Amino acid sequence: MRIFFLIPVLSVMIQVSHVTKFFDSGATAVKDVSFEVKEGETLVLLGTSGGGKTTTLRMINRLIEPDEGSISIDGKDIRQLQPTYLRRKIGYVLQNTGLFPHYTVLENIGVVPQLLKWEKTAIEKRSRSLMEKLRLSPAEYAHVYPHQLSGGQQQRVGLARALAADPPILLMDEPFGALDPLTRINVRQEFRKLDELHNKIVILVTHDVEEAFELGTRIGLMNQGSMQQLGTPKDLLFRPANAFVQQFLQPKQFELELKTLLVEDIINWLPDTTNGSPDLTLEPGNSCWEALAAGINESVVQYNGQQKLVNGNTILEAIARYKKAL
Amino acid sequence: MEEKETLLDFIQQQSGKLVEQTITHTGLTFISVLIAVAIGVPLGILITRKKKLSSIVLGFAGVMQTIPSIALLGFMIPLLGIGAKPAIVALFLYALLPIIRNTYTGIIGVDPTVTEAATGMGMSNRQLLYKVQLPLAMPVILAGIRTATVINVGVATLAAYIAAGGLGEFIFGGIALNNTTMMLAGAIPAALLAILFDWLLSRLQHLNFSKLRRRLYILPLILVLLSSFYLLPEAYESKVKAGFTPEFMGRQDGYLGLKSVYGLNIRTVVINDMIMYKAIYEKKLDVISGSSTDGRVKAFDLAVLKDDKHIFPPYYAAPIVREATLEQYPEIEAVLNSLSGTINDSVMTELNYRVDYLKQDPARVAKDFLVANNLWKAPRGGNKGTIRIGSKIFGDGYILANIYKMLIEGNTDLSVVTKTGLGGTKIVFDALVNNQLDMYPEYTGTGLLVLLTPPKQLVDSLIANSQQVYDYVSGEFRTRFKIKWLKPIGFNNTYALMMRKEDMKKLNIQDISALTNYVNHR
Ligand SMILES: Nc1ncnc2c1ncn2[C@@H]1O[C@H](COP(=O)(O)OP(=O)(O)OP(=O)(O)O)[C@@H](O)[C@H]1O
Ligand SMILES: [Mg+2]
Repeated sequence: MRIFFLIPVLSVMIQVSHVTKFFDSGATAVKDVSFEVKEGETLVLLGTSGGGKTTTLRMINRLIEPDEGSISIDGKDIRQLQPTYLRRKIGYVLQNTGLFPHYTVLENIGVVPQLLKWEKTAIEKRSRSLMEKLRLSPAEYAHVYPHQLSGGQQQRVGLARALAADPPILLMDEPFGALDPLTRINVRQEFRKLDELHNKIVILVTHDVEEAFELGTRIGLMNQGSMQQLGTPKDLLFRPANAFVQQFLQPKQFELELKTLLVEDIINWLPDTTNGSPDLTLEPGNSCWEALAAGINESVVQYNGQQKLVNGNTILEAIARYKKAL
Repeated sequence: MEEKETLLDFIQQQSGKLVEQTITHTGLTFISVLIAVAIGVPLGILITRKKKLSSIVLGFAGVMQTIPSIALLGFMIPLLGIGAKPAIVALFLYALLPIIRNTYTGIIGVDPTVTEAATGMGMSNRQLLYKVQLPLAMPVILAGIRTATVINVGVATLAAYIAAGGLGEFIFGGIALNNTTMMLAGAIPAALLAILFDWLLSRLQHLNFSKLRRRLYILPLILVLLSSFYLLPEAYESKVKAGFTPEFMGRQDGYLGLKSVYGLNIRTVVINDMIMYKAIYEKKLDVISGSSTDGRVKAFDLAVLKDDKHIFPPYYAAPIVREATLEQYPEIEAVLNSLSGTINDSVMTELNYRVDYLKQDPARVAKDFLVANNLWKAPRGGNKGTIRIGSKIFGDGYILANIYKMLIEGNTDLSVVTKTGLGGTKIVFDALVNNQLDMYPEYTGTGLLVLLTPPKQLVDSLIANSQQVYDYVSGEFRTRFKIKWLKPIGFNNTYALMMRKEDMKKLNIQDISALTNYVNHR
């Protein structure tokens, strides 16, 4: 339980309802988009370039005002809040980092606490601890300027800056965009483990499908300003709302299925085995992808007192049956 | 090498004045830049937020910049009088454009993702400005201030034209007196100031602002300090103020003589000839140097102080004629001499007033004068020969040439062509010697000091007595150039000190000694 905007509530919630944004250029950047996000959830906005993801995000911290519809936090319309007050409660990671070139790393991270008039020592302590959590050695980087950092390091500073004042809401616009694919996977995994993110509302924008499926509790797929589908990863994979959703996921469909489905999801379709002692034991919470990667040959999973045989064939067979049974 | 030594000598002799001028110059430059910063930077910030205003504001500042500096100073006189005020305002207007423009472009040039991030973090407009936009735009803004400062060091030399002081006093004095040393004594420090300020501001510009954010506040302090220099000379200002042209300031038969012969110790400002009369009329000055027959003496209700110790050489006007012409047409001598004694100082002033100030045609003024004095006769239209009359570009010459033309054509069978507006003394005189002219009106003082240039001792022995000067020049011209000085016309167009008529009456001051007495015993 947290207190947001001085009103005690059970959980924080953002409600976006029927929001539309036109730009002077004539294009409708966002068309009638609605969604809700609750505390502890990570909503990923996924979609093609120019799909309206950034615009949607920026309407939540009032960098852009919607032309139609409304947005509320904890039931309170954000138009009734001071923009500066609202923004200091919302962490924001920009698509191009937007670090202040004339501030050191430490000063950049401390911007919002400073605006909130924290004590100097408290700001410094907080900033240094965030640097450590994000694997930026304070000894090495605290007093350097952004242009002396690599793109990836800059993005971490951007993330630290957004987290500094421990805001209940975090908006992230392609936070890992500047990373090479390998580093990206590592950083993503670290990110998932960050205790800083627990109990926050995270809205994360990306056009990387894998990232969306890995990080999102729910995913909203946007195209040309409209929300094509909003649902859990499983919803998008196995119950695509339209042809666009299907096509968008098509190239990675197989890999996504393996990563999204857990062993326990398909446990009923795996064959039983009594084949002595297993050479490898899996947890039911492991994904099929992990199960496959672990057991090049064969492995056995214990589930509710049953022993199930796991190998390439049995998994593929089970997934096929799972889909049929939907 | 000789040139260099004399420059050093000059600087040594005039070091007090040079320091004062440099301080004034620095003060003028920085006080105007300071005001321009105080107004230009906020204006630049304003137009980044109200973009519709930007073209109007930048356009206005741009127009200001294109007005020639001397004209801009001229516009200021009716509004603000003379002295520091109009100079500072004019300099301020010059400094405005680079400062507004650089503030504007500096802030507009800040990476939009950075300002967006600042807003997204929850900064107010004011915090965005002070924490992000201004620090990041600072190098560009400083470049603008730097440009403005260098421009103003240059333009501030012109402040000497409107009695605001500065290094322009030496520069324009040097130009007027054809004294290179004096000119360099003003020009070199001015150039050095420009280089010095440019360098200092460039150091400032390349400082690391992220590290020095707090120390940046000393910048305005430095500016204020430098600006306050200007107030120093104002502190010892006396009640009676004299405005002298740069030329007059540097001449023995000018300010130097006033000091050494009369012992006059008056607070002086250097001022341009064209502005001087207006300034005394508007009581911004109390005494000026002028020429005694200038039409503006009448126009502005002034009167000439008597030169009771004779430091100003006599400049009596008389026609000078080639002897060859007189032999060929002897009848013209009597005709030309008939003018002698008819025009005294105040008559000449009146005539000049009508031409210079009332903008009447010189030919009409000449005819009116002759008619009034019963000298007018209708031209005979004879064709016995042609007399070529020249004149310099100044007022006296135009009118006299016209008068002589009418006299000759009315009283003889000769016709006349006039060649007026022949520039300076040297040009007209050469034309006469080379038989391109037959005659022109000249001044005895000019004949002595400019054309004959005898040794100083001889000049000193002659100068106090107008008759001696006349006798000397007419003798020399006859033997050396075969040119004859006819009878003087009567007026003396010399340097003169003048004051407002009402003041002379009120204070009972008629001559320069009385003025000295009044000024020195206060
Ligand atoms: N400030 C603006 N003025 C005019 N049009 C804009 C503006 N911002 C965005 N747009 C337009 O709105 C549409 C949506 O833009 P938006 O930035 O929200 O897309 P996006 O999904 O974030 O794309 P990307 O993945 O490339 O970042 C685009 O067509 C874009 O051209
Ligand atoms: Mg975007």
